[in-house]
Amino acid sequence: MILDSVIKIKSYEKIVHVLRRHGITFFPYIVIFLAILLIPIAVYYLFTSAFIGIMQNPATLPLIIIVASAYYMSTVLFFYSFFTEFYLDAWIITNDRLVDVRQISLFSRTVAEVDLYQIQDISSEIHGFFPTIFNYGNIYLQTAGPVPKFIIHNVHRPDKLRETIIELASEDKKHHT
Amino acid sequence: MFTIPLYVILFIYLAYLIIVAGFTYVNFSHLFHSGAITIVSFSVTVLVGFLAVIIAYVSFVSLIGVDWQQPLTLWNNEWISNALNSSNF
Repeated sequence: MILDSVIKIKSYEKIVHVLRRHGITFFPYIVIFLAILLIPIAVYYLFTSAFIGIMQNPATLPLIIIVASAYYMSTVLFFYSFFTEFYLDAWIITNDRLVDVRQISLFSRTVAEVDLYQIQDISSEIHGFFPTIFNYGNIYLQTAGPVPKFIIHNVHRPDKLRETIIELASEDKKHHT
Repeated sequence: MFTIPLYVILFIYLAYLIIVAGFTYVNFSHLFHSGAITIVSFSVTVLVGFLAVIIAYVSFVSLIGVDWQQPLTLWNNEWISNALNSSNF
């Protein structure tokens, strides 16, 4: 996996986890995307019943086809952009630090990191029907670093990850006492 | 009356397709350079490419036989006068 452009792995460092939001949290975007795809079809039936002259005009029909095509292309592009922003939100846990990569928009990204030995407090939560069913939730980290609070959003099995981070932090503290 | 030939709309559409292709490339480049090329992201990329090709193909087939030299009326003053004459005051 090419992560060199995001973080520089140290010689003694090993990547333990690369976390992303649970895939089920992207499902609402898929539903919205499918609903948006149906809009031109509804408009088409409206036009054929109310504005038959426009649909039969040899000049306006190509225009309508081009507008519909541009609309569908835009929808697909926005879907891909939404997916990219969703998928590029990642949390990289190594045996030395935790890196929070946040893709805010297509041309905006923030990267924050904290050494594991600086973690002071960690908690996890699962709230809601779907998070309980699909076992995903948030992990909250209090740190002594420049960024005092980290939140890992909507990750799978947050309880198990919390325990993993505690073990890694304990191990890392031995090298920094 | 203000008219333009229909092929002007086609050129605008083609320019828009180039912009869409550019942004699609930017998206894929982000995924690639961030080390996020996985089965999931690759599948979504293939799906997006497939949908774009389908849309372009259907548009192309629908536009076969169109006379692109014909004029497209963008504005005609008679629209206003017809609308005023036909309204019931």
